[in-house]
Amino acid sequence: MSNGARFRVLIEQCLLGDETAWSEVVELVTPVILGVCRGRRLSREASLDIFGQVCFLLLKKLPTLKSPEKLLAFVATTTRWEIYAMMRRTRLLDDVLGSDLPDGFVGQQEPGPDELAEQSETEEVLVRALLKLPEKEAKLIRYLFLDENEPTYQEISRKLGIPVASIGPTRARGLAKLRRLLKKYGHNF
Amino acid sequence: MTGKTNKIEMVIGLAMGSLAGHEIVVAERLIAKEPELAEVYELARQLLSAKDVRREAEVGHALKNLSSQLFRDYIRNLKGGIPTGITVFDSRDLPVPRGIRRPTVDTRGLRYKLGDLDVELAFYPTTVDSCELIGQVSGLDGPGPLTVTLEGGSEVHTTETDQFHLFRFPRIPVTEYRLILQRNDAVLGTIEISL
Repeated sequence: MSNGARFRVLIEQCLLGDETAWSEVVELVTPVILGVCRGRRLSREASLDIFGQVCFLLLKKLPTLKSPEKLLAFVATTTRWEIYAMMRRTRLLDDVLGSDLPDGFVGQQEPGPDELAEQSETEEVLVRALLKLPEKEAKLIRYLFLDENEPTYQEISRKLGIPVASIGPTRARGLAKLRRLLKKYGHNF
Repeated sequence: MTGKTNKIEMVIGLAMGSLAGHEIVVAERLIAKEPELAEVYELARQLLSAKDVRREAEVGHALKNLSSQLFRDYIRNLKGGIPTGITVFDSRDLPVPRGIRRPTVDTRGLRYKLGDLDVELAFYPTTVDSCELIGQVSGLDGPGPLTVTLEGGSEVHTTETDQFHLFRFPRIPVTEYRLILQRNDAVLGTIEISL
């Protein structure tokens, strides 16, 4: 099954109420949302707030998202808009309450739009490239590099149904493809 | 395992910080000598940095719980009928920042989407088994108060929103509730709350 077809199946499963499929979508978009939030130096509470809003809007938009590229573009743009909306709200409150630092923001100086775009670009490009990899290699790279639980080789072997000895070569192939894809997207190392 | 795989293993080990002593020197030499391996090293570092974003935020657990709850709420609403609250924020799962001792009693903030409305709730513990609930509804068109009913166990509490669409239940037992919002006897939506 092609990546595009796999993605469409994933979206269909979500819309049928499959929570596992939704978790997979959330897993894909979380680094992008948190990357943008980090770029804006949001507090943890504010980041969780933005995350909830973006997930809600994503669920509403899901039936119209036909490709992984559209999914990521939507999530990145929506996250930025939600942050701007939050900032507008807190500024309005500041005008009334006279606070120096908007609630939910831990930084002193806000980065400009260019800086913000650059800070979240790496996460977006990486996720976009990962989505293009064959399923097994993409999952392996996620387990090895992105999984917070840091599974052992034995656990990964069980999850993917491959021998422990194939993890190294599969990872090498996956990373080589990922590098090519990132270069294609104009990403510099 | 081939020689090439071994080299990649070394370089990734360096990115992950799992090498020691002489291994580090060997890996660094490999990176300096082979541009392809230098790129693998940089790629591994960037992948690990994406994980750090989540780790730094320390919100992994909260994100997982919130996204699952939000999904279940959303799917329930697709069945039609009176809108039920979709959880978009719950402070319960947020970790306490480093160096800060968790208070004996926690306040809890919740936010819901309810059709076109946004409902914000805050629970303030008053005793071990009771709390105060303050809520606010936004996104309403038209004036006039809403009737807010809280059903839980055998108890039913009712109040009205003020001019800012704020409402308050001063002392309610800690249990499971259904909050019902009404305007002129028409139910606008319900929210299931588990304290």
